[in-house]
Amino acid sequence: MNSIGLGANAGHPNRANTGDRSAFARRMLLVLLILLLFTAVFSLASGATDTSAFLVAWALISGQDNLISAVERVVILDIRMPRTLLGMMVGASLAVSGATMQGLFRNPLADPGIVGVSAGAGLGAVTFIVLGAGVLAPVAAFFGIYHVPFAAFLGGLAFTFALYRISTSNGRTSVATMLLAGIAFGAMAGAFTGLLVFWADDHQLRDLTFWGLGSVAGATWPKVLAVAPIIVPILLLTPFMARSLNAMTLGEATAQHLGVNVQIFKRVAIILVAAATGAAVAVSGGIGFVGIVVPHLLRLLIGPDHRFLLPACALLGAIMLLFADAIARQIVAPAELPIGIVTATIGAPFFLWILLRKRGLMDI
Amino acid sequence: MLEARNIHVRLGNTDILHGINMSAAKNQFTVVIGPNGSGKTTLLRALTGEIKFAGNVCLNDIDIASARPPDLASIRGVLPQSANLSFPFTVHEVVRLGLTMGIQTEVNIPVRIEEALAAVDMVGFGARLYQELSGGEQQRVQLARVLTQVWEPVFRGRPRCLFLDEPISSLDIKHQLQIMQIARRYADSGGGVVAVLHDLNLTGQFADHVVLMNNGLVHASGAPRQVLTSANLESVYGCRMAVSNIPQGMDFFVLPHKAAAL
Repeated sequence: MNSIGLGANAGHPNRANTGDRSAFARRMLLVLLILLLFTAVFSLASGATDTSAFLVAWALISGQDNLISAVERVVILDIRMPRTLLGMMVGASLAVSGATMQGLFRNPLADPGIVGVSAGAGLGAVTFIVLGAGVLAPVAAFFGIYHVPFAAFLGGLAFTFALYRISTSNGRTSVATMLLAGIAFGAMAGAFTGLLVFWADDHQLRDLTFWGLGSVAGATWPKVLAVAPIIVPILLLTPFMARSLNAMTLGEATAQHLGVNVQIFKRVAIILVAAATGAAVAVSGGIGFVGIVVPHLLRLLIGPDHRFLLPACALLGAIMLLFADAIARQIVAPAELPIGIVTATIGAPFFLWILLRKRGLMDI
Repeated sequence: MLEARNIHVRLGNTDILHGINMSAAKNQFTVVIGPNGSGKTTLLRALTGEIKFAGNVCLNDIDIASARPPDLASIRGVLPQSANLSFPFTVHEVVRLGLTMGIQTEVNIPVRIEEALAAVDMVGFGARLYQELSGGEQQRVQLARVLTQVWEPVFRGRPRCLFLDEPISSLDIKHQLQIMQIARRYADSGGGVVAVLHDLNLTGQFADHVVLMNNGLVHASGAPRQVLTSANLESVYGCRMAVSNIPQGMDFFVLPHKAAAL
C-alpha cells in the first residue's frame, strides 16, 4: 500500500466539528433562494398601486387574469417586472463581481466600485450616452441595444487589466498600490466623464445625472434583454471558477502548484468581472458597495469557500438590491430616491467597519 | 526522477544562480543546504517552475517549462516558506485545497483530510480558523495540504515528488523530527523529496543526498558523509565546525563552534 499511513487511527470524522462548513453552506443557499423568491414577489407587489403580493403571484402562476385589473396588469408586467428582474441581475452581478475580484486580488477590500473598474465602465457608458447620437453613431448602430453595455464592458476591462498590471508584481498584489491606483483611475475617469457631461445637451444631462447616482427606476424590457445575455451566462459560469479562486487565495505560485493555469485563469476572471460590472453599470449607473457588503457578510456566515460563496453572493446580492430599491421607492414616496444613495448610505459605513476590523491583519 | 541542467536565474539585475546541475532520485531524501543568500530558495523556486530560469528541469522526464499545471500538480507538491490567507478559511478548508484539481476522484475527502492532519499532529484542529494559528501550526497545516495533494508517493506507477522550502523553520524539536520522519517515509515508500533546510544535524540524520550551495553554485553534492565535512562546511559557512561520530542510532553529528573568521 502506497500511503504514509500515519493517519490510520484518525477515526471517523464528525462533520459537526471537523471544520467542514459545506453542508451548512448548502442549507444557506436554499434559505437564500427561498428568501429571494419572497423578496421578488414582494418587489413585484409593492409600489404606488397597492396589490396583494400573493394575489399577484397567484394570478401570474395560474393565469387567472380576472384576479387583477388591467391597470394592475400593465403596472406589474411592464413596469415592475422588468424593474425586479433588472434589480436581481444587477445585484447578483455586482456581488459576484465583487467576490471574484476579492478572490483574485486576495483582499476583502477589492471591489469594482472602489478600485475604479466601475468608473471605467461608467466612462465607457457615458461616452456612448453622449456621443452615441453624434460621432459614434455608426458604432452605436452596429451594436444596437448592446452598445452601452458593450462600451461599459470595454471601459471596465481596460481599467481592470491596467489595475492588475500596476498592482501585481512577481505574483504578489500590493493592496496599497491597488487602492491608490484605483483612486487615480477614478479621478481620470471622472475627468473624462466631466468633459463629456460638459458637452452633453439638457436631455442627456438629465439622463446622466440619474444614471450617475445609480438607479433601476428606468427599467424596461429592452434594457432587461440587453443585459440578460451578458449577466445570466456569467452567473452560470462563475461556479466553475470557484476551485481556482479558492486556490488563488494561497497566492499565484501555490495556485499554480495546485494545478491551476494561473495566467489563463486570471485573464478569464478579469474579463468576466469586467463584463458583469460593465453590464450592471450600463443599465443601473453607479450602485456602490453591493460588491463589498454582500461577499463580506457571506464570508462571516458560510466561510470563504467560493464554491458556495459565489452562488450565495448572486442570491444575496439580488435580495439586497431589491430591498434597497424598495427603500428607495418608499422612503420619499411618491417620489423616488436613486438607489445608489441608499446603497452608499448603508455601504460606506460598513466598508469603514471592515477596514477598522482588519486594520491589524492586512499588510497595506 | 528530477534532473536540473545548467540552471541560471537572474532576479532584477542580480545573477542569483550561475549554472546549477543537480538531480534527485526517487526513494531518496535530497536536502539542499547552504548559508543565507546562497540561492537555496531560488533554486527550489526554479525547480518548481515558480520563477523564470535559463536551463532545463525535467521531472519524471517531463520538461516542466512546457508542462501543463494540472499534469505537474498530479506528480509533485510544493510547500512554500510561508503562506498568508486573507480570508477566514478553517484548517479543514485549507487542507482541502490540496484536492483542488480532483486528481484522485475515488478518495473519501473528509477521511483523507483527517489523515493528513493526523500526519502533521494537528488532529482536532479542523474547525479552527487558519489565521488564528501560530506560525508553526500554519506551517504544519500547509504541509498537510501538500500531503493531501500527493498522498501516495507512487501514483499510477510513477513516483511523485515533495518540494519543501524550509519545512521545519518555525517548528519545535518534536515537530521538526515528525516532519523529517514524514519526508523520510515518503522517500522510503518510493517517492522523492527535495527540501531546503538549515539544520545540519537533521540533514545528516535523515538525508540520503545533500546539495551544499554557496554563492549561487553547487559547492559539493553527494552522500551526507561526503558533503558534511569540516572542510566543506567551514569554507561555505565561514565558521569553525567539527564533524564527529557518536554511536547511538545516529551515524555522526555536526557541532558549530563559534561564528568567527577562519
